[in-house]
Amino acid sequence: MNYIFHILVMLEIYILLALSANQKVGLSGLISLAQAVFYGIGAYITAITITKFGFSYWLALSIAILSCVIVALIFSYIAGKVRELYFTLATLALQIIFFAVVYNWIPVTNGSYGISGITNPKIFGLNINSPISFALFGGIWVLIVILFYKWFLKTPINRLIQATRDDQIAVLSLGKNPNYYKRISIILSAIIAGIAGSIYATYTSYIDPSSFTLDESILILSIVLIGGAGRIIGPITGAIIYILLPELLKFMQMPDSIAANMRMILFGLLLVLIVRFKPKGIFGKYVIQ
Amino acid sequence: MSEILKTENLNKSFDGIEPVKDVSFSVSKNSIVLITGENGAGKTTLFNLITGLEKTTKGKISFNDNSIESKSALQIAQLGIIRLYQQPRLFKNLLVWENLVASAHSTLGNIFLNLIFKSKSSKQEDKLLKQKAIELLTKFGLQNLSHQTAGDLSYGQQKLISFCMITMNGSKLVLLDEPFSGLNPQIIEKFSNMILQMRDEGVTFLIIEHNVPKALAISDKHIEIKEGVINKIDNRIIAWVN
Amino acid sequence: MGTAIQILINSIVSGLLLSLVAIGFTYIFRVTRVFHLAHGGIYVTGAFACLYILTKTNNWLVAIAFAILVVASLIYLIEKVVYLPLNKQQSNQSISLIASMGLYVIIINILALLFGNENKTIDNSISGSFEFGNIIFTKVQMLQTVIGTFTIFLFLIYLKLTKSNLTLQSISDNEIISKVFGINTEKERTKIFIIGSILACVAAILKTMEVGIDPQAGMSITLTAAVVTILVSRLNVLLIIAFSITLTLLQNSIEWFLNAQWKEGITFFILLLVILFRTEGIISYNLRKDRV
Repeated sequence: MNYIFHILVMLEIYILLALSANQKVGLSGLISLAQAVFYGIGAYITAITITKFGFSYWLALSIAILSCVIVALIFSYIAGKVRELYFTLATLALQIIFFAVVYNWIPVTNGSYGISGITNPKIFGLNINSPISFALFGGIWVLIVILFYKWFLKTPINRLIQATRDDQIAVLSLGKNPNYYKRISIILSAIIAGIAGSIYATYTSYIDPSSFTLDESILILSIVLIGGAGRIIGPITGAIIYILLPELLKFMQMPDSIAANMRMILFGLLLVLIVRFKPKGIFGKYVIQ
Repeated sequence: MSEILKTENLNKSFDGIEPVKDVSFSVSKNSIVLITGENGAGKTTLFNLITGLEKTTKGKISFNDNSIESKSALQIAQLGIIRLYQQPRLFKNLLVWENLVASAHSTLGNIFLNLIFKSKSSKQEDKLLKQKAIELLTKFGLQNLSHQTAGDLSYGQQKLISFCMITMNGSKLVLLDEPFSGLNPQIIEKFSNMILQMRDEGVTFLIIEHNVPKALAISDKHIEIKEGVINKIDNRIIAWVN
Repeated sequence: MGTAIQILINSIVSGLLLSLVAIGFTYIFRVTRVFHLAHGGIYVTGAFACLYILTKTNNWLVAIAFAILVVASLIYLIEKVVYLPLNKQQSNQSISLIASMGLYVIIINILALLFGNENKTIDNSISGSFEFGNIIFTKVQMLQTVIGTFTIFLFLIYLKLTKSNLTLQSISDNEIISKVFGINTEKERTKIFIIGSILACVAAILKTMEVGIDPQAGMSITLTAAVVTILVSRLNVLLIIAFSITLTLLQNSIEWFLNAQWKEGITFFILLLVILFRTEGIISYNLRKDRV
């Protein structure tokens, strides 16, 4: 029974990550290979502030979100100016640099030894320390983000963000700054990924750099592309597919040793097929042009 | 008659090429000026210089007596010079009315913080803008397109809608880059009327066109560009119109 | 001083191998416009194919021939089934990059299933070295240098004999106009994919002799090769070699003096700077380009 709640928590985390990627990819049309960076910043800042300074969860989360915002802001000024492929390459560079920092800055991050002993969050006096309570905790965050999007997608700002995606030169010619709208997406995306990171850190109580690699960024990107970018249902579908795929393989009695690789093969195959034949993804509203 | 736009000895050169050699002309407020010339004569470069997409090498450009030759494309657009591109530029994934509302000039909805701190007034403004968009479409007889996805429209419809976006923006000087290209005569007729209508409401137009007869029919002044310089300026049309 | 020369020599040899991968990546990227991250998958496939035959037959010639055959067939399949159709649909570069990522994931996971995730080495690899004072030059390094240089030489001869450089340059400048001038762009694409992949295969086999191979090894060298591609920004073999060696020298120096794995981070920091300041990456509001 606990196992089901564990799956649920991971699903919630990946839904958040997929929604964060959707902000950049679906709404802004920016292909990002750096989602794991903000996931990682959220996780590491939470972990460090809790273990080294004994902060409460809320304080740790706030600082984590702030850190994500700062990095996203700086990055948006650097990378916002360049077009499509080079923006993606810039995100690639950010991801590699981030990993190098996390892996090597041992005094702060403990490098490959990771940070352990991240205590469970205490929300309104309640200790969140069991799979079921984490599942609820994660579920509430997912609900908050979904409700945010239900509101945000109807706002005029979102309209301009999507307009920038569709034709940034037209937006510029109409007297509005396309970089501003890209920046908003980058920052929002970073915040949501950061929240996912903080949940992950307190849930697993141990983190190390291997969870925040380029592979992870590729994975998150794949999830949103397979599920479909644009509307909320796409990223959620993608996350569900990713999380449930190994369960399906287990059900088909595939031995654990090959299940991990098999899952990635199927996922990679799905990605190639989607890109080739159904670029909108399963439930996407928007094709990357 | 005041001059809304004036260029003096405008020059663009790079790598040994001089697409615009020495161009001086002025545009009166509320007029429609036609610019013609062969392909490669320098017309589009001229537009790029005026709108700030390309940097001037030499010369001056003034808009309402303010010099703009060193301003950025964004600044110039914000000052009130906007442009219609030859290939229609729309927001293909948005609905037509959304395209128009997104084009409106300096609204509350432009800034993220307003969403949070001025949410009531920005909501109201958005509602008003949607109304205005539908009214604008109705004025031009295009209201049946209002809820279609912009990317689904035909080429001609897209051109007309991109003009509506420009109108919605409310800028006073509009540069049209080959507006009639690829359109059939009925749509050209409709487009011409739309341009004249907006001129009557106070907008000034600068048009690049190859379809000279149709464009001459609505122009007050005709400038012909050849190899980067002005070949001739024809003001006689003003006599006809009057 | 001795250390510096040692680092220099090691960097030249490693840089030479990197340039094999970078030449492939650059030519592929410039000609086909695909940011072919799966190049890393091809790289390791070549090494594993060679290793597999080597363990079965102990015959180098057959092993290398097999590896080249496998790699050429694989990339041929990928081009025909994935990249070319995407190119025909005129999808943008980000899409082919994503497809490439998917292919990479598939390839290395299949390799992991077949051969496991750990590092595999060649059993009776060549050992021994030449020593000049404090400087060591291993026999493997000698082999890498000789074969690496020879392979590049063959590539240059190929370019000269077939007068391909002009054709490839033309396609990289403007594919549509090249077609108008009668260039069979499809054939050229296929050829450059295969050649680029063979170069990577050779580099992989040479590298395996030195440090062995594991499925993950391809990404790192491909990414570094990608940095070289962006830095060089044109089809010039000598420049690619020069930049590859310089970058490797930089990486090795950092590794030695900082004693850490910062080298990749710094490499990509350089990439970031290059992307920022290189015109080709900055948004070009030039509408003439837009019109085409």
